[in-house]
Amino acid sequence: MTMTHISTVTVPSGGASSITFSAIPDSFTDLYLKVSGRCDRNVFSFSYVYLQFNGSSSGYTYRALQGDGSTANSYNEASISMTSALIAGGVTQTNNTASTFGSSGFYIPNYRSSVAKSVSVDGVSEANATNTTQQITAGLWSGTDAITSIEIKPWQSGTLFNWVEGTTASLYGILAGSDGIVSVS
Amino acid sequence: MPTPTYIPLATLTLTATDSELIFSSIPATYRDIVLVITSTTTGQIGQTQLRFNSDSTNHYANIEAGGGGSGSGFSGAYTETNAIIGYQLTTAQSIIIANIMDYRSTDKHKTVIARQSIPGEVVKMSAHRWPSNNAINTISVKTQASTWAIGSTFSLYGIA
Repeated sequence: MTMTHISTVTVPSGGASSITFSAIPDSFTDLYLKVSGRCDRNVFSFSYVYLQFNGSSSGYTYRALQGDGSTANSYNEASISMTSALIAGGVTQTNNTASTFGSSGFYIPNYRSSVAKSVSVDGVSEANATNTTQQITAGLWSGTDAITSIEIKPWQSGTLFNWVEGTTASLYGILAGSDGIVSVS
Repeated sequence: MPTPTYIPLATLTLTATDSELIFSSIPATYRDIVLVITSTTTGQIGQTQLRFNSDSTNHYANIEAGGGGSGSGFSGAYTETNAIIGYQLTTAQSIIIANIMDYRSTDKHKTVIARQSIPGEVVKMSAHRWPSNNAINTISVKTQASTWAIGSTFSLYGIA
């Protein structure tokens, strides 16, 4: 088996300002982070996941495409004035449909490499309403160190919010290899 | 007991530049297969093309949508002799994740859903159809222009 569960964090009663995965083992090829998120922003809208690697607050660039069911638009780190973290995925807000959480997946290949880290993101800020947004993102962190920690927070329009109870984030490791049958050349 | 999944089938990290790789002897053991490519090219931006079982006669239907960081994005559909699943730059590594559904079936055309992340350039999603009922046993991956750089990785996984 190659998709191995590393860790899951579930936000308890009272909420949390951030979720952090630290001491990420160096035994995999790629990482996959899944987030089921709801935050305490009290506006009829949606939020994003704010993600940082290794506590770094610089070197993030991204291109995103999002749609809300009637309009599609594309944004980048300059257009939303945020270069200190990767802004991607979807987070449902506290005044949206009850018991509903956004879903996001972050695929991080070659996280141990000594080159800049590319990230592929899919996400939706789920709600039974007209303010749902689905988006895909191509991200890049210029850091050349191996990724040893990941921190995520909810974010929208320049402001950080808090995860609410029930938000979960799970980190998986994926190990490439061979089954001894398939060949590649 | 849960069935193990995301089984590693083959992987290759280039130690020399190359322009085409072939995954062969793919067993009819799994339900779907996933191809993950992280790559840069040596000369210029180039398309990444998939071809199944060396078939260049059945034209592949391609549809895509994406965004470059501003405006309303783009969308298009076209037919080619390959499935065009992405492209790569000469700078940061691009990511292509291609899910190939029901690859061993013999009663349906084969569908690919792909996601492409090209840092600093474009994010794309695409779908492709190979109009053949044959089971897939080889996958050719080719870059249209120039060659892939050393360090580019290509990994195939089986989904139970």
